[in-house]
Amino acid sequence: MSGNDAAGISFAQPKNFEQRFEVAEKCAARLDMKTPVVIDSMDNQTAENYAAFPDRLYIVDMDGKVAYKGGRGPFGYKPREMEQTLLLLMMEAQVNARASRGNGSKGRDEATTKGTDSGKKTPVESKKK
Amino acid sequence: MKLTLYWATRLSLSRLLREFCFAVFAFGFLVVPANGQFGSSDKLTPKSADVFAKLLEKDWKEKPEWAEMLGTLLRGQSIGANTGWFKSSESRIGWDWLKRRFDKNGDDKVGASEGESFKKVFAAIDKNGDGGITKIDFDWDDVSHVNPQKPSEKIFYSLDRDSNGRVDQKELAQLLKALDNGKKGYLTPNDFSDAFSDFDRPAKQTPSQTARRVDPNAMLNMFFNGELGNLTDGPQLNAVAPDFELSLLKSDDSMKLSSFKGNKIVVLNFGSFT
Repeated sequence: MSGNDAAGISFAQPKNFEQRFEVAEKCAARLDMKTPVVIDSMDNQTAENYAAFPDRLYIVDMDGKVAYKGGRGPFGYKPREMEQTLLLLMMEAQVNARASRGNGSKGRDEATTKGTDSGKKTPVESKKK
Repeated sequence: MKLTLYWATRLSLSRLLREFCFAVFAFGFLVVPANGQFGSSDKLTPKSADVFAKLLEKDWKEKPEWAEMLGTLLRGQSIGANTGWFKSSESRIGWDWLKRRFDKNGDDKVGASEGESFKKVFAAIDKNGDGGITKIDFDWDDVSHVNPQKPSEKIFYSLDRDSNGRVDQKELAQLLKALDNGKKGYLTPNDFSDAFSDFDRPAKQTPSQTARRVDPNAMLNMFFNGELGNLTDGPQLNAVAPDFELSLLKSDDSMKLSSFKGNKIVVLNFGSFT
């Protein structure tokens, strides 16, 4: 890819998991990634399940449900748009937690409060190729 | 020449024989060449492609995305944002929620005064940075780091190394270091033209225009090969996120998505580096 070459990034397509792992390591180093990086299996099953090739952003909320589904990459890959939704979700979690604490309701309340305490996100980067 | 069969019951044998001979004779003119070729091109003709595209454009219940993309390709249309399966994002929370929750005076704008304890967060949500959040702050159609049009956009996105939409001190320092040929400690016009000569070229060579000149058949092959994107649809908004358990880069462990349920909001950032 000419854009990559200009940036000094040039790899052959990995043919096995070890090679893909190496590319992922270089990528994480180069981009100074602070978030956890996971690597898709060579059959690209996770990418398939999320229709994520070549790149895509999703947010999974605390109920394990898709709360943001980015447009297909490359055109739909918009980190700032994702960030906006993420902030709203975090605000929503706090707002809900306050509300249920105010009501003094039990049971569900614990799950929500726990969620608020660790209402930080965990960005998980999934690398293919 | 239409062939019709007559039931023999009511006919006399002689009449039947006459009909039969006629049928054989007529049929002789309809003989199809044995190898099945009609002599036309063996590629999909534009007319056939058009018919196919129309079929794909009909209203289907739950039409898969591949059908929309294939229709676009068969029409020979160029691909880009808002074509085929390249659509806007979906989210279950947006302007409507924010307005309901925070727009106390109903002026369709959420200002700092209405922000309660979230004032700092609001600055990040305020896309156009005008000090208030309105519906237009949620419209991201104009943003594309993939194909910036204006030279100022192109330069901005190449400076914005971490793609967070902001160019900060650190990135400017990185720029100085990266562009400074000979480690002078300052930049000259030559340093700039060396780095940004691509942007000096006349506008007609933009990537989207070169993409348009790609052979339609090649595009179709790329499509079926999965190179334009997965042929699957991905989970719907509000559906349970498909679980996965994948090897972590920095430890011997693996990470399972469902382990975060009830605990953390998770951002999935899919990408590739080749």
